[in-house]
Amino acid sequence: MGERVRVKMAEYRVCNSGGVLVTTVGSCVAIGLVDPESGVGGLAHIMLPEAKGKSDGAGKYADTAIPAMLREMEARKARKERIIAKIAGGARMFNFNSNRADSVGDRNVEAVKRILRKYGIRIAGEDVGENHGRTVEFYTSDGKMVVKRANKVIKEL
Amino acid sequence: MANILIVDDSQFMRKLLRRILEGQSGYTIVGEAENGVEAVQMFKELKPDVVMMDIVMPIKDGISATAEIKQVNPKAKVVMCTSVGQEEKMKQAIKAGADGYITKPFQGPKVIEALQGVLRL
Amino acid sequence: MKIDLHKLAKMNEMAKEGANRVAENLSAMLGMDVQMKVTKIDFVTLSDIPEEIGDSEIIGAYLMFYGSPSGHLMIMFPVTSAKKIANLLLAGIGENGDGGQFSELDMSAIAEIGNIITSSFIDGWANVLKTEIDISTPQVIHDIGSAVVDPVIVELAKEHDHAFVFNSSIIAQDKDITCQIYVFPDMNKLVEVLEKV
Repeated sequence: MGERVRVKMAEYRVCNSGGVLVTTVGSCVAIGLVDPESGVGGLAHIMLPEAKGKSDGAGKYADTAIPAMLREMEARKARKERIIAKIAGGARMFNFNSNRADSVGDRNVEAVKRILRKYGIRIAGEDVGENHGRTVEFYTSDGKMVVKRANKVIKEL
Repeated sequence: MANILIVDDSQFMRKLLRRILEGQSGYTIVGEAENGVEAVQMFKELKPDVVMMDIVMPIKDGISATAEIKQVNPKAKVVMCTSVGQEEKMKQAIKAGADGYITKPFQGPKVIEALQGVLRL
Repeated sequence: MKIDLHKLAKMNEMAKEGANRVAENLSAMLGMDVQMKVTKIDFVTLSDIPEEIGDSEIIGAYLMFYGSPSGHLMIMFPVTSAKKIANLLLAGIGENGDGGQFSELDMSAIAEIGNIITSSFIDGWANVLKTEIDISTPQVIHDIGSAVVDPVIVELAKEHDHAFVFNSSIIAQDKDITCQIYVFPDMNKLVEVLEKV
């Protein structure tokens, strides 16, 4: 098994050596991309849907993290038409404002799906929404995503 | 015997007040409300002698609920229950018609003292 | 934004005043000596905070405050400390804690602790700053530590990548109870208020 690499909030990592990329999300979304044939994979931990012109780190926003990760993966011999995505997170941990129908978690998931669609990337698995945190392990060798909750429930995507 | 309506969104605080009052003779808890809307409704139905009213609550806060209760019955007696340091809120509550107040963390004797105070009014 | 020595001194005073009141009111509530370790005031990179908190399970109480300044406050109890605190408070109302599980009443007792900590702390601030600050109702959750703080970080990160954080811990020595408190005041508002003091 490859090495475990922790992906911090607002970061993304790409690897082609069979590494396991790990992160923990609440309302943020973990986006795993992999080209299983070339063994190139990446994991992003985005905080918000759109950068809206800000340049404070590509990894922070869904609309900047996804293209940045795709570029790096393609530079490492991944082929875009083979890349698939798995996503987890986007929970509503607290009610910030009970009048607001959608939470930042919902908006994050919606943005991630829209942007993946825009780049023609298929979502092969997802565990999103609800009201709990998730630790995410993304196996870049085969694209398996393991999602764990505090109550020990484990999902394999 | 004084009939008391407890209003607090916290289950723990309602139980704590119940515990304090049940340890004394002379008080009957006639109802428990979890927010300001329930408080006004239960006040109309139960006609308690005293309402013990939390300030910060969801749906409707204790200050608005106190003002409404006072409109229903200007002679209603309301004791505000609040956390330390909410002096400004307290002033608003008094403006809304509150007759007395106690601050959290609650101590039994202080609660009884405040109740006796408003019952003498 | 300018943070001079005078402002830093005021922030220290706020922290100390807040901590004193928390210790005083918690001691009264729990019926034991509670100490609040002197607050560390830091200017931090927001995305580092979840790493600092880590992935162990916690019970977190989250409150917002509004006024000058407004902001967010998060109290994090290790699960064993939360259980001990809940048991202590429940014993005070003649109820028994439920083994290792957290009942609704346990969570409500912890919310009330969150309420007392926040109102005491903020009262200390308001006193130093001579302003009014209101607090929200508490929300309590049991989850992975870094995921609990995530939505608060995200909320703050909409505006800035850095934040002031007042970081303190509470220790009730005879019962092995600890918790971490993170207070994130709105930076611009805080500086504005500090300028007036």
